[in-house]
Amino acid sequence: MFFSPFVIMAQGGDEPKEKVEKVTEKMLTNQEQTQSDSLVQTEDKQIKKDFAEINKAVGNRTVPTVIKALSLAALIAGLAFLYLPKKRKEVSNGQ
Amino acid sequence: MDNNEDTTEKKWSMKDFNYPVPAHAKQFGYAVGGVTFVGFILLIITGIVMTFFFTPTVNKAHDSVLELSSTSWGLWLRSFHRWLAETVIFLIILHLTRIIFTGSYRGSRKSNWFFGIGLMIIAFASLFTGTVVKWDQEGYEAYRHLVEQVDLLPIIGAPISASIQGATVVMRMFVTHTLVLPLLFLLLLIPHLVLMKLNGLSPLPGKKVTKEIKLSIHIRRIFGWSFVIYGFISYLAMQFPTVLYPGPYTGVEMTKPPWILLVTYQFENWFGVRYLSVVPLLMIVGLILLPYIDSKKDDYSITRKIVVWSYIVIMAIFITMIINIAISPPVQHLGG
Repeated sequence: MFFSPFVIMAQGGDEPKEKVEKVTEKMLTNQEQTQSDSLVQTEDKQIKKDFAEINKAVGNRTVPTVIKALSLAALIAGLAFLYLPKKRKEVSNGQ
Repeated sequence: MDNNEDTTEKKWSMKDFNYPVPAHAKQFGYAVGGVTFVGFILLIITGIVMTFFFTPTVNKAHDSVLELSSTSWGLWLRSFHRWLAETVIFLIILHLTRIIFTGSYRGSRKSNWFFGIGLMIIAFASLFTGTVVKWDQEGYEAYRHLVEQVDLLPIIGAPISASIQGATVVMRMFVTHTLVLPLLFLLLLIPHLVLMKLNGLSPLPGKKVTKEIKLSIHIRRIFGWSFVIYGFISYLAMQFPTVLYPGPYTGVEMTKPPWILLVTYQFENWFGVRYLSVVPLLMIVGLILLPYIDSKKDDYSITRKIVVWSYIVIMAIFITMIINIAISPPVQHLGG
């Protein structure tokens, strides 16, 4: 994977390990939610749409991230060139 | 009228604040700390404006960010804030690099080095909490990782973990992001600046300070660079607006952290979520020990060379890891 910079993955990684649900206040306060079947179906469609959007956005971030990382490397190299002392200057004639 | 009292009284004028500094203060490497400071001020301003439009509750946080992003100026504001945050972190790393390359943590500057490390930690914490508060998929996944890490802490882990869970989580993260961390930042920034004034600008390695310039020239350079850098960032914010992911959904892990935190993600991939904090902790310990390891004033010592080259190698490894993770698909770490 490391040697294939043009592989831009837009998949959502591994299979979910727990039930996928929208995070709400009720869920965080451990209150049970009851939903009708039609609501569940609508939510499933919405979840699929959202997941596709997330995968696309994650994929779109690949190239900017690589550019940012390489820019950082270039700037560190530039600072090394500017500020690392090359060789100790020889002191001559007692100066 | 006591004449003696009159003559000993110091009259301050603007000229007293325009004291001489070494000529290399004009260089970007020596202005980068100041440019970072300007970025911090811009982050505060843009952050304050955004608070007027943000609702810090679990059910409404995401919608309020979405609503702000629905207007072109709101999208620019949010994007500019995010780009600024990343740029400030970027500049902090450059500032740190310059200090390591010039050995400016030695001698009397040691205490200021520690304040600098504290500021850097707060900056990273701000980036993290800022990611969480928007409460999209990325924010929620970041939050879940935080809970996992806090749970690992002995004794204090359980009460802290309890305090950051529940329906008030967004509010608490919001207060941390907008109040606690900026105040801590200012608290450490004041001694950082005072000590910088007392110690003076660090010298260029292997060179003696001969020429001097007025402080106003140094400040003008800082503002000049700031206009160029943040002007460009403003343009980038318009051209490449920051993404607000949908969600959040529990039970899945689909996003990756902000690019600079991808090193931790690599370790998470290798060793699991328990080891997520290993790299940041090792880095902090290493940076704290640095002035004790490399304490000699000699710019050409073997220790100096080892420190500098170790830093370069570590940064090269980190950048390689970031690129590797960027081109790899997201991995599910939580909930296993």
